[in-house]
Amino acid sequence: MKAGDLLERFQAHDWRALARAITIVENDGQEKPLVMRAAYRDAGKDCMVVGLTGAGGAGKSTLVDCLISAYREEGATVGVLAVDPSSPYTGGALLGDRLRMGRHSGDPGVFIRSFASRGELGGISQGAKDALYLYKAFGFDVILLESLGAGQGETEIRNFTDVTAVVLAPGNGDDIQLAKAGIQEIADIFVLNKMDRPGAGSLHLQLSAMLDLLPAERRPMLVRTAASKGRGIEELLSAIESAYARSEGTRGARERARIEDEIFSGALSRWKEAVKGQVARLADRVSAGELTPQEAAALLGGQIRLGEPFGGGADEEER
Amino acid sequence: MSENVVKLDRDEGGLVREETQSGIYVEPVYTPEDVKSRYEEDISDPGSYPFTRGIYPKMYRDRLWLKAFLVSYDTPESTNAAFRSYIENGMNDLRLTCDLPTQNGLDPDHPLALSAMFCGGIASYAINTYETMLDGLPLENTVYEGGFMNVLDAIYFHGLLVAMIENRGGDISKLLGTDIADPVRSKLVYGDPSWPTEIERRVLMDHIEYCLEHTPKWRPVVPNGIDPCQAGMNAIHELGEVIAVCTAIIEDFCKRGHTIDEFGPMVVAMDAESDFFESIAKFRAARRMWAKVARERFGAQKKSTMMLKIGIRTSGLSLQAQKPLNNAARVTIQTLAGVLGGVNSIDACSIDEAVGLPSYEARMFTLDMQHILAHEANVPLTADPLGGSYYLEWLTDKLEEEANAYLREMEENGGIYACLESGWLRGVMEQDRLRVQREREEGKRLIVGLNAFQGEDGPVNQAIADCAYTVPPEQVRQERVAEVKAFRASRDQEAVARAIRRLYQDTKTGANISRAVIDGGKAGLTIGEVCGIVRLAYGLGYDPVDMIPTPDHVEQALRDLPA
Amino acid sequence: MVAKAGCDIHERGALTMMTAFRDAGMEVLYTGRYQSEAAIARTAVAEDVDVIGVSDLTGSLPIICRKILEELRRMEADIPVFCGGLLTRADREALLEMGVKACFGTGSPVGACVEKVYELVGQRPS
Repeated sequence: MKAGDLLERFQAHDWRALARAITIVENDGQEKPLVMRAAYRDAGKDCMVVGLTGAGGAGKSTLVDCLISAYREEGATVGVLAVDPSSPYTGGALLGDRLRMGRHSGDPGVFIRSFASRGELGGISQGAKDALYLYKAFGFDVILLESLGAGQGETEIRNFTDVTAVVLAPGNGDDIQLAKAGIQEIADIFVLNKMDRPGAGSLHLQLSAMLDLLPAERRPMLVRTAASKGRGIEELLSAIESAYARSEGTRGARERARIEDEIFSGALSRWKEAVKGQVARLADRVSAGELTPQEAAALLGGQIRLGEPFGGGADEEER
Repeated sequence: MSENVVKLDRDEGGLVREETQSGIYVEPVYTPEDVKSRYEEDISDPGSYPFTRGIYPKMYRDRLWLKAFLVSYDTPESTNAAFRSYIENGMNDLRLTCDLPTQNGLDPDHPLALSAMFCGGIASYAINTYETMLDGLPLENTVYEGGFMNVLDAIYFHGLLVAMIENRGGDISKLLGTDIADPVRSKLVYGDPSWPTEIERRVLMDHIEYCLEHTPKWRPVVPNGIDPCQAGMNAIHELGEVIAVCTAIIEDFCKRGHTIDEFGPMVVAMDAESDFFESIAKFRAARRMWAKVARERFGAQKKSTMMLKIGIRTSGLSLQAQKPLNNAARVTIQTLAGVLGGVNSIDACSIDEAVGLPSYEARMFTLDMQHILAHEANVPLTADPLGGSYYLEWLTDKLEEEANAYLREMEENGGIYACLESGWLRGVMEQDRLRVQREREEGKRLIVGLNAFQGEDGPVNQAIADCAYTVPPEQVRQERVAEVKAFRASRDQEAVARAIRRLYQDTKTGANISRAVIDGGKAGLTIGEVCGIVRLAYGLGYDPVDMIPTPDHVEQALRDLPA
Repeated sequence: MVAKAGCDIHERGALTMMTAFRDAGMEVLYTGRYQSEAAIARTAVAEDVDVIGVSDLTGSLPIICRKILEELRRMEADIPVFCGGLLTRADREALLEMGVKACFGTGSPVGACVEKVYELVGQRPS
């Protein structure tokens, strides 16, 4: 598929073009700037992006599966981004979530794509962030972004979604840590999944006690579900709806924050790449006892002001 | 790697391994010092608690093991002919099974059924197929073994047998046999979509209660360790899993207000693996462990309740497509392990299973091989001939100890059903599987013909491969699709509607559904319908794989129900 | 993408290959069991996978692969398909004939399958 051809088919709502465009974006293909420009231009504002984050085993995929069914029944089209961790040793990944969403694979109104985190610890990979624009441009009514919550450093998901749900389940050790992080930073909704399991009662108690400390207007909603049995899904849907309504006022600010964040992190990763060699040379000098790590950092930091490491960035502006 | 192995073996007389298959380190020699178990309490005579040496005092002198295997052909007619011929040659445990779609609760015209049709047996979607398949064969006082995937199959096919005996005017209390299915394996190994675990657990209790009252010689549940083992679990974890499932079933049974003595002896299905002594020790340890659980945990009073009957299947996984003649040695050694382990029934794999479905001749070999063990080799003359072997008694103790530690760990994680749902159990299975995979790649686990002693296939091996039974082509499958549609149309539609309503309501009100299934079978309800109606009564979709809508006639029948 | 079609419950081969591919640095998608051939093809296109490996032990690989290839052709997707599992000599011939790129019988060395994928995709993980 040629780039121009691809964009044409993309605009004609050919999901095969979307599939290929995601690959281009995820793999940093040659046509990426072109594709991203088109996507950014067309990215619709009236689709709702719902993030679901939580530890492995909390039942996120099963919840997503239930949500897909529910939105499909309402006639909405659904795009899903499922992010799985990569192996830190080989870079390979088992993308398992398709397994539990398999029953939607024949539905033309549903598009599911798996993403490996590609070195990012938890959270969302760069590829998935970029692909989110493609989903928006493609014009899904609802976009579901499922990611692995590591309990900290999870704040970025907040800027990419309209509604964020943190999924917890009894028997998952880190959940209270995750809940704390979620309360402070990201959650519009806490989903206490597997509510029929032992330990659900005490987890619910702990959570509501924590939530009660917050002022009502900032207090995340708490929904109990048993996704594998389809229970509590209606409640979750209405919680999402009211969180979406509530987010109306802050959406502009969030989008602004996201754009800044994208510029910053994009620039940062380029800079990291550009200074690799210098860092190595400075490290040698630290090992040789010439510098302390702090002095080396100050040396490198001084260059940022000078703009030197950004030499490679110039041609970027020309495009 | 392989050349080094040949050299090590030929020139140095060396081994590459010092551990059993499940990773237990083995000393070069064992002495009386190593045997910690006491004869009276832990070993005892055959026929005495805790039955380590076997459940009968004279073991095979009184009763040889039962000989079974999958009888797997495309049509009920050809299966009937095969049954007759195998019985003629010594098979005395008629293994009923069916193809994979049917076992999953999908009728032949389900869109997902076509590709696996006839794998494992016929598409026995309703009573008409059973009538043809078992035509002229006695239903009473003949041992039938339902080797199935899930509780749906157990209750449906037992129901068909009862229905047929009643239709023939016979006595259902003379129905003999077992249902090899349990609610853990169906999900753990197969990810079976038919009924969720909750339904399986409830319906299993219905089935047990019905069988104990009406077909008391039919053992309604046989926990199965074979398939978890084939899917990856090592011997220790298989042993623990089987005991845990038995325990969980008796717990559910007692919650319904019964005692373990009402249940009677437990039967389990276990894997005979290639590790000869570990397999023997595993069967001995299983009997001892269950006897203790039955007596100590559930307060069994009757001796028979403490007995664990074991049926084995040899390891299909151990069979290789490379030089399939070698599989004759594998099957024979695994079968011998079963006999020396004092098991009660044996399903020996056929030597061509790694290249295709079993041929008739390969099946005959598995029968003859067992006759050779019994009548030429004189293996079964005396009970537990290896009892008292320092190594075997040590290994039996070791497996029991390791399996008990595993059971405690499972208990700490909430018990077997919690471990099933959380994926913990699957994690154990996967870890074990990965270890085998790694050890094979590293040459620490030799498979002759595969990663060692490759040699070459000659005309004899080629012939074995070429004679394997091949599954019928698509056209024959399409005939079955047409047949089920014609069958459905030919039924008494009023009777079908009544049967649908009865099953739905009994499921919904919590009544025992066994009678509704039996009468439904008589009215011609298919397995797909029984699966779907029970699902509907639980508020689930009709189709377990979510591909087809509720059929009109089912919807129609249920529309007339009072809300 | 490792795929299983229909009602085949045998999963060990699929899992073994998945871990082997992952360990070789590939991103591996698994369809899970009980999938239709159409869903497999559609998923492969949506995920834009480089190659599809079909695993089956019911003796039905020719039937399954023919349908997957038909679906892929219908979607104008040029994704190579290879397979592994229970295979007779006749099956192999039929499969290669219909355009399946490679067949691996039970017991095939894992490394050979991994090599084949590199070859079919035309690249190795960096």
